[in-house]
Amino acid sequence: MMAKVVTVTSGKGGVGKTTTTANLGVALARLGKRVTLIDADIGLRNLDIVLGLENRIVYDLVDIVEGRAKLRQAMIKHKTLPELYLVPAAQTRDKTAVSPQDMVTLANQLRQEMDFILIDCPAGIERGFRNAVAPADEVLIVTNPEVSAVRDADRIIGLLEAERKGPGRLILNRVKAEMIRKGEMLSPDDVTDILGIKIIGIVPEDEYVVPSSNSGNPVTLMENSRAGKAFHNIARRLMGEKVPFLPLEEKRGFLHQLGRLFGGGGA
Amino acid sequence: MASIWERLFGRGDEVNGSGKQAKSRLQFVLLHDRMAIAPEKMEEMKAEILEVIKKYLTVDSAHFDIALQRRESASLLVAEIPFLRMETPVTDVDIEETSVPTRTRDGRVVTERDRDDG
Repeated sequence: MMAKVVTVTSGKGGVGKTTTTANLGVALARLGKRVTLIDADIGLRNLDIVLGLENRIVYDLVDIVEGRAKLRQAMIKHKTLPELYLVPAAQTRDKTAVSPQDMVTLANQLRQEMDFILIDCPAGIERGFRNAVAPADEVLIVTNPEVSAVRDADRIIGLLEAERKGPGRLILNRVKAEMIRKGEMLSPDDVTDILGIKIIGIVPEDEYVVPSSNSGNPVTLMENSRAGKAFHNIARRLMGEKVPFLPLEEKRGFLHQLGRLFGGGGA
Repeated sequence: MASIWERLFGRGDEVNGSGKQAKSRLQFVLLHDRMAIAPEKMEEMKAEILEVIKKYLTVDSAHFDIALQRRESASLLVAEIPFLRMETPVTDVDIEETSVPTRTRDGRVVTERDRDDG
């Protein structure tokens, strides 16, 4: 089996790319897949800390590319998931230290031994973006239901088309059902209407997310987290399973259930 | 589509929340982002296209619109051109009664005849 290379991108920063990459990695590993996460955000390394692996870094992506370390030496094994690895970004260099071709070569070295290779793309549309997208078999675009994030996602979709990596699938992160109900937030339907691409996940705003990165344990590991559940479902969809979307809001009693019965609600 | 429940108890559709504003503002700005064309240039193009069509058809100019749509595989420029009636009589086919052209959902112009003949 050859690994599938999935790049997680967004254009805009701060929409949850790193959180998404970490959680999808953890979810896929828990589903029994062999997964390597590559942090392509050279100079702004973060995936390590979100995963709780920041103290284990010896070599990084640039060390591999420049021949100071073998790929295997730079791969950090997750603390509890034996089939999850991280290739950390270099912190002291910039994006030009790596080329798109380097990324393709690196991904190809891993393809035989992995089921999934997830690449955390830096924000922006320059070199770092091109590096991260070059080896991708599939691209996931993370956005928030917010005008600036959606606009940047649209730009990314355009660039992916140009790089023949499109159209990609959308992850709508930090969705607040309450605000959508009041008409004060773009709904998942609004966003897919505007962007014209398929959606692979709707992740609710969840107060477990911050504590989980505080402690370096992605929310997917927390049983009660709705965001964690959503990421788990995205992982299954990435594996090709058909998984229905979670309802946007938690159960709201009998009347709400009745409403859903009439064909409404849900995401 | 709003469900019965949503229509009864409100969700977006009949609420004039800022979500609607966000959607329409985005649709406007993305049109220009995607085509990398300035809004004035776009208006110029629309006006020119309208002029050409007006040579042949009586167009409802107020409702004339050109918009960019993105489908799975490509971006499309989609024109909505409501017209009132044919300016010149159709001579190459025998039409017993006046065939009223209507617009299909995707903006194509069809007549009763077209549809009957498949």
